Amino acid sequence: MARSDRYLRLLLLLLISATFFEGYDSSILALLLPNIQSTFHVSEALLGVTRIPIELGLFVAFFVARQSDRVGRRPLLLWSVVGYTIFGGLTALSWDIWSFTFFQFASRVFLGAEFSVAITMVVEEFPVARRARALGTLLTFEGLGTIMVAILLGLGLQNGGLDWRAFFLVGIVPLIVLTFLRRRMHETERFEEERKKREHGEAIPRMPFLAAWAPRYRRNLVLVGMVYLMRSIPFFGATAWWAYYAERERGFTETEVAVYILVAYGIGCLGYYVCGRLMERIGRRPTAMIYFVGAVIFSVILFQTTDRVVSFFALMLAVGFGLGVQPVLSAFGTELFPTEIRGQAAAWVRNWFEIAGYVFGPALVGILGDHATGAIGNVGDTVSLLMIMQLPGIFLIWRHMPETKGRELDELTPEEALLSEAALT
Amino acid sequence: MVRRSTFAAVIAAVLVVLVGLGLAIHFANAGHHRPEGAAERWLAAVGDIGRRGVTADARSRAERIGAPAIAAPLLPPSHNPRHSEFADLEVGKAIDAGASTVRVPFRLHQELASGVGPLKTGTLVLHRDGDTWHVTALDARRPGEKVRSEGGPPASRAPLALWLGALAVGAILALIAHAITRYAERSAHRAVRAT
Repeated sequence: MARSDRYLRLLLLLLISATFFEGYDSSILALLLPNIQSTFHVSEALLGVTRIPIELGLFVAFFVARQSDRVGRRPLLLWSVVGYTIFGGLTALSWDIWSFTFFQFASRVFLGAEFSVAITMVVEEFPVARRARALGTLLTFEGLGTIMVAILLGLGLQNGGLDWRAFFLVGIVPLIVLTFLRRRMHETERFEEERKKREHGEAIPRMPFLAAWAPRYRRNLVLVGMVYLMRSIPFFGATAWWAYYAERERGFTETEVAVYILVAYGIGCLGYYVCGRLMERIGRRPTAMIYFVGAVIFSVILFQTTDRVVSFFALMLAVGFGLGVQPVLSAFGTELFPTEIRGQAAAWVRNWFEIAGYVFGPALVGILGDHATGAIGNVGDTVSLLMIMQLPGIFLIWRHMPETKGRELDELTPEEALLSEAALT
Repeated sequence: MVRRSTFAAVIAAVLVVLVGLGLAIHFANAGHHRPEGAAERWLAAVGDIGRRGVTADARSRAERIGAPAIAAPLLPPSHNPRHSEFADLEVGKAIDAGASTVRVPFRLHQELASGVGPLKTGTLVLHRDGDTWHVTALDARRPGEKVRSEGGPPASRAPLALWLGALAVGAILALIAHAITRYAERSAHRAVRAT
């Protein structure tokens, strides 16, 4: 039985908090590090060291997210929101750098799981005609989370009595929303069907750790994983270093950087929505290729130009294409896998392949682009050179990625979806 | 189903690749000691000395490169201790001044208690001592000493060979990814035939 429009709207509203706070939480840490450093009186070196366990939380999220194939999407999402809010709130009460690191690590674990399950729920609940648009809408809020941090910074929230801690207290909002609306959220119909099958002994009762790597699923897992990895290394390298690059290599003031991020990100977020519409209209593969090519071109322009006007439009378009590709990537990471393995596959793709880029991308740019000791010696050229890593990703999408436009999830049998080399339609 | 030993072997192979990549980057970075980077680090550290909570760490970082007192003319008369004493900073390409000495132009804005303050420009004089550069003096700019945003040359630039090399690496990566996908596809075919 199809879900009513009203329920789907409510579901989307509830899931939006997951993506919004992913963007919000990641940006707090990036933009407020100097304030946190001052509060805890720690060196830059120690601050760098603490980033490693914090970001590893997203990797550990894999082990939580994969439980959604066993316990269900709904309970895992609800508990993830609870976990994220508790540890987000506790972060505001941190008493030293190590308590801060632990709370942020735990918060990341739940946030990563929440994000993965949210994507899976949209893919499973929305009918094919509206799925792409729903993904686009959902992921637009990830970008808006970043913009919210910029707005709060502009309003001077960090200058209040609570300093940076006030930003983490805002993270309690999703728990309040959920408290009132949780009873109206249902388990996904596809998972319910899968659970019934298990009860009748028709499906495997418990998925082993490596189930998503079984030969039947391996091709698409490797394929989607490599596309994610090749995009995430240059992408996260670029996003982590743009503000530094703009100030130190192009002479932007701090205010100019803030304005550029706010305005260009604000407009660039339309890229998510356009992506959702475009993948519905022309298909997943062509949309992904257009977005990948756009991201490479405008990122290279952004990190090479010295003209401020060109830089503004390049940033806007790099955000639009680079961040905006998320809906189609999320579709690849979920639609190509059958229900019983979908949660796990999405977790593998996101929490292993993508997070690897999240860790190594910024590190590569930092090491190779170091102004004193780096082999390349500047951030602009390093990011531009890394962008070339996206070219193999474009090739893989063009040559190997199956097309799922207009296909209901149930229409994709494992054999069909996993062995087809060219477009399915 | 996938054996855990196979998975462990794949993880080990990935780790070996990562270690290899790390070594390659280490050797690629070896021997680079740019005065522009040293000047930038010194200015950033000097600016942080006035920031509450990190004074000792910042002073120690600055002193390793040069005496913080050299920067006295650049410091604002008053500032907000929540922020660095410089709102932003940019350094230009080093110009050889002979006898292991270079001149590095810079521009920065002071951070006042009321917000961003006036622009300060100048040139840092650095002296090479073995592999390290030390800031020895602050000087007025000479003609032609400009940072990148004023039309000066970039502090460093990737050579053409590196761009071509990156394209070649991209092509090789595409081939490897293609081969991995085909291998996974063949094993999937075999598995489906077997069932």
